[in-house]
Amino acid sequence: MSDITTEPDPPVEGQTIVITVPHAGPWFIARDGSGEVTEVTANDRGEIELPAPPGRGGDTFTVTDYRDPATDGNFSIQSQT
Amino acid sequence: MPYRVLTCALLLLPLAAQGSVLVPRDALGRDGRGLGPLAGATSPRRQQFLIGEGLLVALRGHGILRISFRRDGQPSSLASGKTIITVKLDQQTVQDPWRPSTTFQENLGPSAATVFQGEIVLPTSPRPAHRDSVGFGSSEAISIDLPQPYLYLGGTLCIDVEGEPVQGFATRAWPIDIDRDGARGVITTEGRSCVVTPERVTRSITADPVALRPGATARFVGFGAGGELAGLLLASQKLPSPIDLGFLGAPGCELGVVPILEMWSTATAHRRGPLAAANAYLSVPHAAQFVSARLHAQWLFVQGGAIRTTQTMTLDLAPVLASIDGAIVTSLPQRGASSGEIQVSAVPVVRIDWQ
Repeated sequence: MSDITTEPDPPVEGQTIVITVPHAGPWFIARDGSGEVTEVTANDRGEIELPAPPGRGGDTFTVTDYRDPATDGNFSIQSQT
Repeated sequence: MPYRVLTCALLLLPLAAQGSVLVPRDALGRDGRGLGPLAGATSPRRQQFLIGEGLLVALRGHGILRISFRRDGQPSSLASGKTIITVKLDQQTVQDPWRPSTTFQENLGPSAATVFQGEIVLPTSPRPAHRDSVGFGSSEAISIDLPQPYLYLGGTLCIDVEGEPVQGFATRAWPIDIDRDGARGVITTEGRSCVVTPERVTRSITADPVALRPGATARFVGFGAGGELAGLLLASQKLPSPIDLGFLGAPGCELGVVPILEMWSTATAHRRGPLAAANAYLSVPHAAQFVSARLHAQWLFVQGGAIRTTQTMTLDLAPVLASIDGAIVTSLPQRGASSGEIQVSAVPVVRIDWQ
């Protein structure tokens, strides 16, 4: 995990999550082990706001810019209960 | 005896005079528009901050004692860490801060001086009360004290930082505040791709609109398969009707541009994600003819004689030249980098203490 934070930390199932990444532009969020990837855009402040995390409690995600070497990080979603 | 005391006092007066310069001048009470990593804070990198002399008028003729990088105002607490860094300072080598080289060495002249080498502590920084409330307190900034003052006489100041985290003391994130002017380009994609991507990745070519402007390093990403040869085709015009590549054994794949420039690389599979990506970088000159310029791009992937193409992307560069007197050149997260990507019209939010 490098240069990537989430608010709240950890993200909570069903709640808005703000991921802060170190640069604006296209980023990709992959749900580990699923093959699902979503392209998202970070604003000038490096923020990616997701109305709700794209998964369930216990799911782990990788956030990457797909550079080589990539800047990437991961987060896990906490169950609401 | 009184004369000797007076003489000593007069000699000490100029030395005792101290002050500080804030870059940009109006940074207090507002969070910069951007953020970024500081080389070595979280990963091995090299980075150069080029600050135009217009932002450093009060520093001219004085010796730099300390450089403090303010943290970004994001609403997160930041954990402490340690880094080993080397800081070099140079002045007047880069004539125009909007036109640095992507090659670090070319931005340093023969008079570049190593002014710091050693360990720096990244402080524990609590979540700011408000985004705009961050200052330069001991928990809000990374400060580098120079053992000897560095005399600044004028011209573009280049702050060259190279470093990596101390093993066992790396922190996850410690973003510094960056001020930018907010100009950006626009990307639009059209046509079809014969590269299969996951459902929520609607295009197999993308670019960073923030970097689509004169003076910056534009970055293009294309998605293919790991190990594929990947060519970015850049064009000033797209074809009125795309050409189906069935005659090359790739029916359903289309060529949409007449390339004037090709940049070849290899698609690399991500260590965890399901996609493989190719990257290409293009330095756009900081010149008036590139203001609002339009380009078209498309990726072509080749492996074992098979060809696949992405959609066509139209790139409209930002409608302005740089307005902030500075630029930042940042390497990818790797040791020993010799070059980096340019962000133009951007400066770190720093306080430079002088005597």
